[in-house]
Amino acid sequence: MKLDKIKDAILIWGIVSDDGLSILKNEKIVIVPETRPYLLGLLYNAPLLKKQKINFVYCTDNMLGFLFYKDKIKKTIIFYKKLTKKGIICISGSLYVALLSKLHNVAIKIMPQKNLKNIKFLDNSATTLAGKKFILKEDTKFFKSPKDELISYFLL
Amino acid sequence: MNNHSLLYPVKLKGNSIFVLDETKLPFKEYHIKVNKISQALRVLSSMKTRAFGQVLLFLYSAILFEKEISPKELAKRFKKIRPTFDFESLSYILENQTKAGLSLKEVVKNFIESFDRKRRERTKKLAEVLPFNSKILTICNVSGELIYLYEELKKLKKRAIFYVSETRPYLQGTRLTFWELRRNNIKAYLLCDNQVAYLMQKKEINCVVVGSDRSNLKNDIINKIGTYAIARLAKYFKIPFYVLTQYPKDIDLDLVKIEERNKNEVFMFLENIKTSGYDAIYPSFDITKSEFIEKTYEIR
Repeated sequence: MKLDKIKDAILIWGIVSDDGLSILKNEKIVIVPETRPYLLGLLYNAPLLKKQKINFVYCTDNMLGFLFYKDKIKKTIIFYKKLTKKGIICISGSLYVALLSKLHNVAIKIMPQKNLKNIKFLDNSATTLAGKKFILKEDTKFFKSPKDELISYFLL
Repeated sequence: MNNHSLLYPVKLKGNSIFVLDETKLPFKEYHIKVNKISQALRVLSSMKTRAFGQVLLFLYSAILFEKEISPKELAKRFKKIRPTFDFESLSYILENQTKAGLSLKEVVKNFIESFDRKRRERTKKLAEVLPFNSKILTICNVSGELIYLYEELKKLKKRAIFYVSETRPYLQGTRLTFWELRRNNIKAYLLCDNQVAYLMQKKEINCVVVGSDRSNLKNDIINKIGTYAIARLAKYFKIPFYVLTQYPKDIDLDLVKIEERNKNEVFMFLENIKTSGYDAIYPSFDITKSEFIEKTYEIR
């Protein structure tokens, strides 16, 4: 798909819930980011949306900034793991998405994520992609571990 | 420190151009032999080389195929494949200086030597402003120049750790930048592109250094996709964002065509996962306005 075909898109981040799906069904187009390192977008969200016949387009996480720059996103939905007094706890990368949304005046909706039991990911860091290593053996300890991130209510 | 393959990833030897195939890094240093224009264009379109590599490919192609095609016509053909990069400016340099009496070979030799001298000069200037304990975030690959930067920082007795954003889908951060830093024994950490905000918030990063493919006189830039997001986030966290750029022009970058590559490339390296039937977008560059840039270090 070319960028000029995208308008009024809904950006999703995290594990889409059943309630989330009901909202997405009514939308023109959904942006499904890759969601590294876990590839949640590819392994879970994309097949789910395809099964539900929801119109979506896939992208890598680093393309989101440009989508905001080009005014392609009308709303962001972040699916969180946990609510706390200070904010929501979400998977790695959520602060990136929340801040970019806020900085571009795009409204953020928060919803609890689907609770997937025994979910196993192919990747747990940037050292691998789809289970394959792209760095030399001697360098495998030099990475930053992805951590759950707190998004404060002030940002939402 | 002499493991600098990415500083000169393309070489001219005799009647052939040898291109370091970046898609095979870090596991193999393989050079593609180019003897025809069509081969050069194929190497360019399949991303075997980019950044300074594509500059060298253009310059050496201008020499090798001088009897077949003018630099101006060559630039048109290169631009068709890589519309975002300014090959025309390179062709003007070649044509103007050959008109002044120099051979194409001499012009190219002078250009490359001068360019490298200027690369060292700008990394020296940048090193002077970076903190004493620099925690530098970077994206994509700046053709070996981070090694120069590290050397300059060391001369000033400044410490540096690099945080390399993997740069999907081609993973230039992982396969090129992280690799070249590590083989030169420079401390570096690899991260997913979306981790940058968290690391900035935790103050693990205190400056950002990136290259750029194009820039204008207002100091706006075009660079690898993902750069703009980092610049916006850096501004939010009050982290200085520095750019290494060259030949700024008096143009509006919003009018430059941003190359959108084949959607199948987004699924690069994901062959073992079902992706058929999924649509994707792939703008390969983005635009960062000067308001988010602390300073640009230019080669003119």
